Amino acid sequence: MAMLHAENISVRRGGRLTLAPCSLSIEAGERLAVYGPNGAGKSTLLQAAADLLPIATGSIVFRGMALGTELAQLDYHRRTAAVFQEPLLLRGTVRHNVELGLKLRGVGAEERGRRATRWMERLRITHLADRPASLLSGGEAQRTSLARALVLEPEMLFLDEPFSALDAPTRRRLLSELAEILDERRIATLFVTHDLDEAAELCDRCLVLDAGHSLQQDDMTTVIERPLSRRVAEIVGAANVFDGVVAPGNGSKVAIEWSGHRIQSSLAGRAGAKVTFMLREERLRLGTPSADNINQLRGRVQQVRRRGAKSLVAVRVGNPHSVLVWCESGEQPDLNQEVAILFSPEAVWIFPQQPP
Amino acid sequence: MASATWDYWSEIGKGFIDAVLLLVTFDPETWSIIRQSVLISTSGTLAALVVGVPMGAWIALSSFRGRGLLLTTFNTGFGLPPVVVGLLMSILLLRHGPLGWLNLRFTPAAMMIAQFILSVPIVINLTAVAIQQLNPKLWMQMRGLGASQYQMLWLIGREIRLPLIGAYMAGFGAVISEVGASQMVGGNLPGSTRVLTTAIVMETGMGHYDRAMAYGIVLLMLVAAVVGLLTWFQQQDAPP
Repeated sequence: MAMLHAENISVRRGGRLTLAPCSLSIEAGERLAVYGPNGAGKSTLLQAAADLLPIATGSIVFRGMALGTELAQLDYHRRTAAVFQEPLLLRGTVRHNVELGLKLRGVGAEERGRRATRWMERLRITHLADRPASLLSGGEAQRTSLARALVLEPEMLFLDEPFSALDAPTRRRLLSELAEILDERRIATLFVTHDLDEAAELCDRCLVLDAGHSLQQDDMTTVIERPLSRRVAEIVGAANVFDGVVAPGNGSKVAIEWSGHRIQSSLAGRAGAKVTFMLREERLRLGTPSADNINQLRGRVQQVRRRGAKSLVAVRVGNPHSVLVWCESGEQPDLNQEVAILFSPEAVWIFPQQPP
Repeated sequence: MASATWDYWSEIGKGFIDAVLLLVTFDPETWSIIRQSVLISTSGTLAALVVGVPMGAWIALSSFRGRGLLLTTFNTGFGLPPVVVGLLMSILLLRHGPLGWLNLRFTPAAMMIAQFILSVPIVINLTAVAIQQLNPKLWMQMRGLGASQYQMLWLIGREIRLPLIGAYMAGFGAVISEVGASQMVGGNLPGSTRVLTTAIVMETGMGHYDRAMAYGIVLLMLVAAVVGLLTWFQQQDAPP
């Protein structure tokens, strides 16, 4: 039985549909990322699933109990917890804020104090216990907000971009601490983010949302490597997306004619059909052309961009097409150098959902 | 001319000394007036808080046609002339008036109602503004923390307690120092509806400057004490 199952939930605001009917399911201990660009409706989906926003259609079932009929809203709120982008701390000290949810649940002062102390220690804010919440830095306030949610030992946690307002080092540190806590406690989590690395670090599965519509819901690897459509590929940051035509292939491998090249894929397709396909950047490499390589695209290096320890190389393989390839910074080619992009048929992904 | 000036200032000085004596010797009439003033103004303002805070919250949190007009009406109440309130209440409470059967004319209750009418728009407006200034997501966060409806109201009240104290201070300050409505609906009856402001007017008219000054000093001290106490509360809670 799923911990949380939302079926066709939609949200209307001011007569406008801000979230089209969307379904999601989260098992006990599982973590689902809701990923998409700004304005996709990610926070709306989270708030609707957390019953913090009225839904126009659909139903929410928590541990097999339908919300509103078999499970009262207040009970649902008291078995779950939410953390938002803004820490939204109330007037009072850090300890007061951490204990607040327990106080609302009628937990006695002694147990409240014990649990709050434990979670303040865990989130390394014990030294701030008596400090007014209004005097905290962004990172401290978000740690307090996380402690306030985790102290409740919720069965389900809703995280709405909790790290997006923090600087990069604080964000990385908090993310890894939170991942550790969630691994240890096995708390089912719905995590809204517009950072794919955060989603991949924290979550098992991903729901891709765009303009209020759910586009794909799969495990993280599938979403990144086998997006259902061109739009999903764009949202997850795939760069090498092109249009080609299926040519008759060899056995199980289908060839795609594209920009004067013939690309072998491992996927099936109807000869003559127009297809949109993707070359997975992480499976491409620069090398020497040889007869052993099934796929090789020759071209000239157009641009080299440094990205941390690696470089992203743009290779012009035909007018007007360029293919992006990652390479180690020490092995980057020179501008205008003639190179070959080598890849296996498995590096080619033809989108199951093709444009009409 | 010099002698007239001397007489004038010596009379004023004597009046000031008499005023202090009236206070420190616990003159029964003076203390009866002080008691009635505090009682009537405190009750009127507390009633305004009880009605005005939920009403201000309702206006701040709901959206309906005419909401702006309603808020403007209450804002107009800020400048409501006390004599106009006194006049309208006097007309309503006349023996043959629509509310004459209540027999409230020239009673402390009528004065409390008048002071309630004068202070409630202030409380409504300041509460509505305080709530509108809260982060709208705070409600969501409180729901997410598992707060019931009553707990949410309590938490919001806690969040806006500084502006609420301010609202009470503004309301109390407005009613304890008004004279028009109190005079008209209370009638300045000794031991009953005579309050500091009406007593000052009467004693000044009768040439009893010592008593008038005593009441003036008390009025100032009273306002300073109440406002000072509330300011102290406010500052205990204010962010440093």
